Amino acid sequence: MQVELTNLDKTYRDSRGQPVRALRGVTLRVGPGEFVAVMGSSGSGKSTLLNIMGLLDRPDGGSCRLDGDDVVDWPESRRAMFRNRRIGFVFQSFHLLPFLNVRENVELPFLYSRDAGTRPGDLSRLMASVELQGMEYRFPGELSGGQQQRVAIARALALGADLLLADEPTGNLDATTAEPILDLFATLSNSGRTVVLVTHDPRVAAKASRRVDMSEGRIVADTAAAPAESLGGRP
Amino acid sequence: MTSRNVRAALQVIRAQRGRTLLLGIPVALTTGLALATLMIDRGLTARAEAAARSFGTDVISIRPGTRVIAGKTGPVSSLTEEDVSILRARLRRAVAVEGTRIEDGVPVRNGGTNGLYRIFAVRPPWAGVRDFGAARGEFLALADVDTSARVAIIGQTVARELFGVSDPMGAEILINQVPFRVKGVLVAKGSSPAEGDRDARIVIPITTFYDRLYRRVHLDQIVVQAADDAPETLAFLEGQIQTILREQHRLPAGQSDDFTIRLPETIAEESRGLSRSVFYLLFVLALVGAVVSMLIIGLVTQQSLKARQGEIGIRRAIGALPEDIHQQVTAEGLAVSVVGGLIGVAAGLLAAWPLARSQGLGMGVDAWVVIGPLLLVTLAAAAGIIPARAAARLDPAVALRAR
Repeated sequence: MQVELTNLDKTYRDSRGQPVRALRGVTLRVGPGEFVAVMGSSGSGKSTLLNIMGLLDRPDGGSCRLDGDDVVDWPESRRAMFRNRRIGFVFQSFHLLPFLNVRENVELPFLYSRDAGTRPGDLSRLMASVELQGMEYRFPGELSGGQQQRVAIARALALGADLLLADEPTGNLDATTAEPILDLFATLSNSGRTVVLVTHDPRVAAKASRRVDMSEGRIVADTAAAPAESLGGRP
Repeated sequence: MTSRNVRAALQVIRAQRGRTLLLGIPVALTTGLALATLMIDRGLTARAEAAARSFGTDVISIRPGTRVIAGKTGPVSSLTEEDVSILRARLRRAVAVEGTRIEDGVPVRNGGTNGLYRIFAVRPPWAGVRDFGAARGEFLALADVDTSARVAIIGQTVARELFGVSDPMGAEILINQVPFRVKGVLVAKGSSPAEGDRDARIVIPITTFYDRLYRRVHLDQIVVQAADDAPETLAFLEGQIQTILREQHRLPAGQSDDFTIRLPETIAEESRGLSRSVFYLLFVLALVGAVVSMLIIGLVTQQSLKARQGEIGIRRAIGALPEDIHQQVTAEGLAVSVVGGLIGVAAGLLAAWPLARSQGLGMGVDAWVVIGPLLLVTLAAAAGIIPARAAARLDPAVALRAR
């Protein structure tokens, strides 16, 4: 999916009612199949950027075009349908529903599909692609962190999303577990999916093909990533 | 409410069976209490209405008043034949006024068989007022009254107990040692909470009672049949009777009545066995319970939704609309209420049935028995709507930040 963000502005009010400018004229273009890491410290605006890209939030100014369509003013029903069909989310805390087994968690997007023809079919290939074969009937509590994140990735891909948005996806994982997850993102990117990953860890960002640095709501650097080193080298 | 949101709600309910049951308990208690209360109340109301109907829905009863002498309450011999005459002459919107003398526990014998029965001494029109004619033989005639005839119309219980399978017609019985001829058998009336076994009575001419059995001048009851059974007619007559009898008995202002007027509704209320106010109290308690249930469900749901922000966020992220979240949470509240309601209905039935049986109260079912618990379940379910609205309004980006 082609992502074009132009001159995005976003201001929040904090708990005391004071305005906080999260984004200041951010412009970013991500091409189909790109694997982009958005780097920045806490409060730099990277998660806000991801939320706007994922149609979970609306900017105060600027435009957000996905595959050429300006999605900012779309009604919520159309945005929800687009999220359901085209965008996959992966979060640091996985956000799996603990009372559903692996299969039910992966099938969750089908529940909200407005397309009557969409039915959860044979998920075995998907489960195999994220190395979850044989775990379909386990519950999240019975899985390791890495396995839970794989379930979240399978859920994100269940309806064939072509934009994958990951917010600190390895934040809760140790280096050994995180490495194959990042490799999985790279593989998905190689298969044509656009992957945008938010992180504050430069070694995670190094796994991406491109790195965008943010600070105080602005993009301060946009570079092709250096060759990746193993996360196992982390202290 | 779409099937996908009901499915989502059922998944949550399935996962949180303990919480569902716990939240359902106040609903169950409330519904059970309401159901048991309503069913027993309906039963008692039906019994009371039957008692009023059996006495006559257009019949007003006047009894002597009571007074306390030496610490004991006893009747005042206040009603007389003259009262009957005055009432007949002056009452408007009344079609009949009949005086009766009543004696309880009178020994009656047929050969070697005997029993104690209630004697009603009346004039022939009394049968019309009380709807108490003869099923076999004849009722009293005016000639019987004029001649103080020793004739009796016996009730079905009396006939069965004194005569068994023999025919009582024309037989001679001894009432308090005085021989009477059985002229007829009264229609079967069954039992009434107000009057007991109404077939265990014997009707004789009022004059015979005075001349042959008990030389008692005063009357034990005057029955007034109204022109119709409209409440306003009965109330109008009650007022007139009170005014006329107070004048007749020369009661000064400030002195209480020396007679008691009982309208059909009074008879019905007395026949309920348990005061209606007890049921109002229980029903108010059920309503309070419903409000408490609403508060518990509302607050617990709101609190649990705080812990479920991540779930709401992810559902929104993968395509759920705010109305999907609203419907899901509402369906969860509905499920809790329905589960509680069903347990309550079962508990209410299990409690009401043995209670009604052991106390001889009876149970009844009408639309209110269904509507009442249904209303309480609906109220409890409605408690989930406010948290559902809040959950639906939750910003998905904010919700997803929740851990």
